[in-house]
Amino acid sequence: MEEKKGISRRDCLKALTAIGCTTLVGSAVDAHAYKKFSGWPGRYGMLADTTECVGCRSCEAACNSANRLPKPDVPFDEKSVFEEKRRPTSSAYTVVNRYSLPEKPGTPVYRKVQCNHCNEPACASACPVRAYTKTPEGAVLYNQDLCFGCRYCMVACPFSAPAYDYESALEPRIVKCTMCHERVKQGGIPACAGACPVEAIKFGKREELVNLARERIRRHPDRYVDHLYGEHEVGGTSWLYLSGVPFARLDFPSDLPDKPLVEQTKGFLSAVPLVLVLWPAVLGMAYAANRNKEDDR
Amino acid sequence: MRNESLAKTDTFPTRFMGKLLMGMPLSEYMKTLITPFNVLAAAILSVGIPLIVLRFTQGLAYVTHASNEYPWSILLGWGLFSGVPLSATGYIMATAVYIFGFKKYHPLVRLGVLTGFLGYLFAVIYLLIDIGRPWRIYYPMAVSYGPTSVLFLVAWHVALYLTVQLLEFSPAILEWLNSRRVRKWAVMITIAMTVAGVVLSTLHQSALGALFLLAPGKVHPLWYSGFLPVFFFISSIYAGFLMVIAVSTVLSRFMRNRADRDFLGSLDTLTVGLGKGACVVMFVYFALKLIGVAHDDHWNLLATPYGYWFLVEVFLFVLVPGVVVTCGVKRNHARIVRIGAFFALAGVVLNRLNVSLITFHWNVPGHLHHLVPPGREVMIVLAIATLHVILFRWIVNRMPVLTEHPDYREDG
Amino acid sequence: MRKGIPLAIAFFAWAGVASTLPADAGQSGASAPAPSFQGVMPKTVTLGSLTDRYEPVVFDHSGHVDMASGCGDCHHQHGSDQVLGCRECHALDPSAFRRSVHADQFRGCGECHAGPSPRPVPERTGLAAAYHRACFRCHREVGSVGRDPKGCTEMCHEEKGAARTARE
Repeated sequence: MEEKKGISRRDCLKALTAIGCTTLVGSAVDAHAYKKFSGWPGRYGMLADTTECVGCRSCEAACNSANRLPKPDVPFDEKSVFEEKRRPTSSAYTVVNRYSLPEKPGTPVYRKVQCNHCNEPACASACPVRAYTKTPEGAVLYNQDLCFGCRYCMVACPFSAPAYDYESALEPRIVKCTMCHERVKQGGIPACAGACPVEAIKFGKREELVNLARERIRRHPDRYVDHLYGEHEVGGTSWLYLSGVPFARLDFPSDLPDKPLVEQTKGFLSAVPLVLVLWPAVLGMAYAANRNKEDDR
Repeated sequence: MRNESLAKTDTFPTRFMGKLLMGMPLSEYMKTLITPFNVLAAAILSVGIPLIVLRFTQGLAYVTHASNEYPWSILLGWGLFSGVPLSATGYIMATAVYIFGFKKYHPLVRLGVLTGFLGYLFAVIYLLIDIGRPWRIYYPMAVSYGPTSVLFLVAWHVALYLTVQLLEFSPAILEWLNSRRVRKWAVMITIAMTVAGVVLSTLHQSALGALFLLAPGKVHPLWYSGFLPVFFFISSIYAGFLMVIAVSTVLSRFMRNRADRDFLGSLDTLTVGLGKGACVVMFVYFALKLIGVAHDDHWNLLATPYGYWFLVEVFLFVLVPGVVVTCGVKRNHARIVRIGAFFALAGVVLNRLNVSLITFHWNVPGHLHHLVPPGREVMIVLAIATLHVILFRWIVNRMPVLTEHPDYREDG
Repeated sequence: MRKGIPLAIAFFAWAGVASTLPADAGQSGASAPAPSFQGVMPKTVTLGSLTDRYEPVVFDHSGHVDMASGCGDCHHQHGSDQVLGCRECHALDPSAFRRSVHADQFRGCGECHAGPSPRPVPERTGLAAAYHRACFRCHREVGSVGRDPKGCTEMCHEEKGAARTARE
């Protein structure tokens, strides 16, 4: 059996030692590389009080008009849409759903659905091309100039908020609420908040809204369930909700962890450099051992 | 094959056509193309290829029912999630032979590398059809990096691994093209490519599982686990072994004339040997799946409909094939090993489909109704699978995959 | 988006607290009570300061007075939403307590529920919301408000000419 061209035993051992030492150095450095960022200060949020909403769908109409979305087949003052639970689509950033309460027949509860603009959005961490940005104003924005349509963000979003325009051949893209970012930057407020006749949607600094909501719960304990949805779910969201009935009854996902979803994959991703270093070391040793055995034969 | 006697007509076009048509005149070559399989393939492609074109002119909605709740469908469920573990043959065989020194499996190495290379190549093709803007597929590599994303890792690794696999297979191509000097260089980098291949494979096989870590509520709790990356990686190991068995079985049956004595004579022994490696990993994997259920204390979920489905997957498609393969190994009976292999491979595919499609968003109303893919999508998948087989066959017909090229036999 | 700051409110000339109880037995006013304060109660009030989508709303003030159990139902200057101290409107002498209120002391909604955004008192809504919340307190149970988006135009609002013809 002829000697293969390749690494000599000595070189192999030298390389392995070097690799081994690098691993140890690497792991020590990584331990403190992680800084804590608790979010852009002064970012905005929106408080939705489902006990106030009367289901007039003015928010849907205002959003449609402000974002120049295609007009729907069914006009915005139609109540027949409430017969089915809807979700945001590629032509509607937001929808309102109706829930009948058996204990209060005739007085249904309404809930508005849209992107919740999470503090640490799963969509942003999922995107392989960084097409999502969490802005200092609080809005999570999508950049269609980078997106190549993998739709992993749709898998990642715990609220299934992003919609995709599957109909378009050349410009398919994600469609979702933008929290009227342009308006907000110019000092305005989002269209839905501006249109709501009862101000069931309140726009303001997230911190202040959290305090406001807690105060409301404190002042009217019989009116509200003692929980501010979105305060802590998946690390906190910009949209906060108050409700008079348990949130699960209004189709709010209720088994979400408090830590941001990005934390779920950090463990795996941090193992990557370990594999990149350890595997060649182990395999190199196996190769060397095998060659050694061959040489002895 | 050097034909000095044809030196006068040994021009590039002649050589080129000779290589393509395997030395036959065109009319004779065309005659050999009329086979039952080719007729079937032509039928499938005549429907599938136009559908692929329509996908690009009419949009994804034309061929798939992918929705806002279910962004991924069978194009990815089969092409990417199932295709990748079935393409683990490359790193498994190369590692076994070149790193761990199991020299007797040498006849199967090229087969493994080719299966792996084409598997990944076609995974990319499935991706190109499924993603919204395929002309931007290189963006994660060159335009904008999203390193917090597991999919970013998958993209990079698939791209790098395709290159590695191509380089690993290049000696075969270069032998076919009679490029001695380049081939020598290609052989020298084999060890490095093998190590790189294992590293990349470990990471992206497990990364495909890690993708779903980001969706804890969406995959059914019996399948969702913090150990998903480990599950995917370990099952890819035995999938690699068994896929070599499966492919070698099919080739030895349908392409016998392209194999040499070494290959055909040793195949049964090698099959049993591969089975030996595979069954150990299968039992390990089975134990890991049970540990996954125990870790999250989901035993009570086993009594639900999805629980029964989980038991079917794990017992009927992992444990039972594992026992069958072990049986075959113990009795040194290649046929039993092969039966177990096909079964277990179906189990790997089933597991991937379960995680990515069947139990994804299992709690959304109307879920089961959504699982049935539209006919157009099925035709596209069939068409690409047909192209895959055709390309595989084309290569095996021409290049020394199941044989050792007589001129290079001494180089190994 | 709220189109600008609401116009001057001016229409409100308040009079009267609908009578609730005489000193002894409780009895809600089935008939229009005699005003027990100075000034005159309006019969109707035209709310036209925020008209962009709809025509001004003509509000039947006297009809609502009949239905309400007290002025404070809408003019929530009492109770937990209290924004003023008692003596701002009332004489503190018990016998004159009720009568001392002058119609002018009933503040129009727009006097407090207006103003710049962000609001000095975050909890205080804008004018449109103030109107609607006051009305919906009862109207959510009456008619289609809360049950049908068409409830807006059923009871209170009339669409402006163009929108109405477009719909037809």
